[in-house]
Amino acid sequence: MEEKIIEIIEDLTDYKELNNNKDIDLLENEILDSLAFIELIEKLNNEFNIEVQPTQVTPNTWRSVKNIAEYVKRLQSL
Amino acid sequence: MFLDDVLEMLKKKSNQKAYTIGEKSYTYAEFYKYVANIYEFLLRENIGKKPVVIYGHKEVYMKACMIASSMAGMTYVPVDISIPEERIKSIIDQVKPKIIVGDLKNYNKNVSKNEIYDIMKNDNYNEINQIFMKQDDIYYIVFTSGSTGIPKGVKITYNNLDSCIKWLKELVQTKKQVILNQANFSFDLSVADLYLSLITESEHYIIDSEKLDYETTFNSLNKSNATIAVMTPSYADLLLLDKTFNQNLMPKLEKIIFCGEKLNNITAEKLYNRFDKLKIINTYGPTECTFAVTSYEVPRNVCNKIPVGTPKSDVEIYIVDDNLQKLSEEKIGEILITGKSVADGYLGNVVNNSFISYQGKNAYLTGDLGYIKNGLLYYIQRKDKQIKYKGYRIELSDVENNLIELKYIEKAVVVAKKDEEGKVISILAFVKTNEEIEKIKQDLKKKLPDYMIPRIKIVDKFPLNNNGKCDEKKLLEEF
Repeated sequence: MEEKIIEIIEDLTDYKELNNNKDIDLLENEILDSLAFIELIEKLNNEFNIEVQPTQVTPNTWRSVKNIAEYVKRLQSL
Repeated sequence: MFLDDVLEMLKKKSNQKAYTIGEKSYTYAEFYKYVANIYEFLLRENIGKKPVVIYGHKEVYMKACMIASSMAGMTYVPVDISIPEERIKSIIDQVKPKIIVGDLKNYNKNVSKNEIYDIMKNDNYNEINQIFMKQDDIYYIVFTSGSTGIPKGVKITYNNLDSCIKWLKELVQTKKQVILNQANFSFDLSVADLYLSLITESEHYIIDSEKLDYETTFNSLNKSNATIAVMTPSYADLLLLDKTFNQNLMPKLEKIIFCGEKLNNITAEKLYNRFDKLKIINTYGPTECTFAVTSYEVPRNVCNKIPVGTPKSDVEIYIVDDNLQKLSEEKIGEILITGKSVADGYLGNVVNNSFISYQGKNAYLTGDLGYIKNGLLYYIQRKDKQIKYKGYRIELSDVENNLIELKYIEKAVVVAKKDEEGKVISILAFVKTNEEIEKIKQDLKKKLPDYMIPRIKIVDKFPLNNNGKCDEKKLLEEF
């Protein structure tokens, strides 16, 4: 799961060191901007067959790959 | 002229809400007090009527300063806190203000936020009895990206803005609404909500929440009771990601005015599916033509290609070829605008081929490609290396020049990555350097606003095409 998310984010942004740096803050380091965010949500929805509702998510979720993966897993288990 | 109408309305000192940001609302009576106090202060202190720089982020003093400067016959220059230091310095150097309002450090002409709040809250103020702004005076100056790396100031006259506001008023045809703001005040998209709210005695409701903080954003959207919203299509896309962005969240929303970038049919369709009574108005126009010059009410049965519509009555639009020859219907060419919206040119001695004379009239050659079909204008994309990104107009050469200015960069090529519809999805920079990407980004951030910071890839060689020029298509494939 985390690997797939890393692949998606690396594909959307210019940050290619995510594998070696999984805990990096994606917002603080401005890896995810608003347009990348729109694409990320669309890709997560399609890839994992979920429906992300940004209002149900604390903004902190988008800070790290780990948080995003946990959130996706939670949605899948519903 | 519209300032007369605004002044007459303000003098009623009504207790209706004029401005809301966060938890704070201000009535029209309070707003008038703020304007009257600042007006007197500026007439006293800004001898020679130099332009007033208004620095900050969406706070009520900024709007009060705009109206006070205008009534006092002074040009204002809005500068949002998101503009980086070096760019602000260039703006200040060009404008040479006597007064800067807001907490801009290192400038001795500064009137701090606390000082301006003290000034504007004085209850013993004098009524405003005279509007000093004249028709041909420069009303505001907004800075846009310039190809040399130095921002260009667009001079908008009182006549320009007056014409724009009359047109906006016709577009909405109502009064006492709640008008939602998305854009910061140095982005001229905000001109629409700043002035439409005043001229229609509406509440100006400011959305100001952290990026991706959907909960706060959606709470304030809900609380706003907004009836009209002004935004970029990208911002609507961001809101549409959450399915609760719908009629239940904003039951009173009647109109969205879009400007700043191409509106695609998917965005419009989603909005119509979620809002039963909504009308979408698509508009188009460069900063150099005072916010916008064409409009189109998007029908509920959304077509594939959404036009930007028909020009306002005092403006004419031509599609021309490279020799400025008028092209016939459905032929693609450059969009040329003449008439009352065309600005007074750029500040200073900026060399440009855009403000020209066409058939004896002042004209602006937009650099936008488009065509006319059945009397409706369609915008395609930028003609040159200037792009539209997140609603902002960006010269890619501006980004390029700022990169090359960094000593450790040998060569840089900046290109835009587009989706199938031609919409820019990111700015990519290919650079030859021994530095790390993070360091380059940090240094660029001192010079450029966030929306202009590219995604960076370090390369050893730049592929060339048959003409010996850098092959940008090949570079894009490599990313």
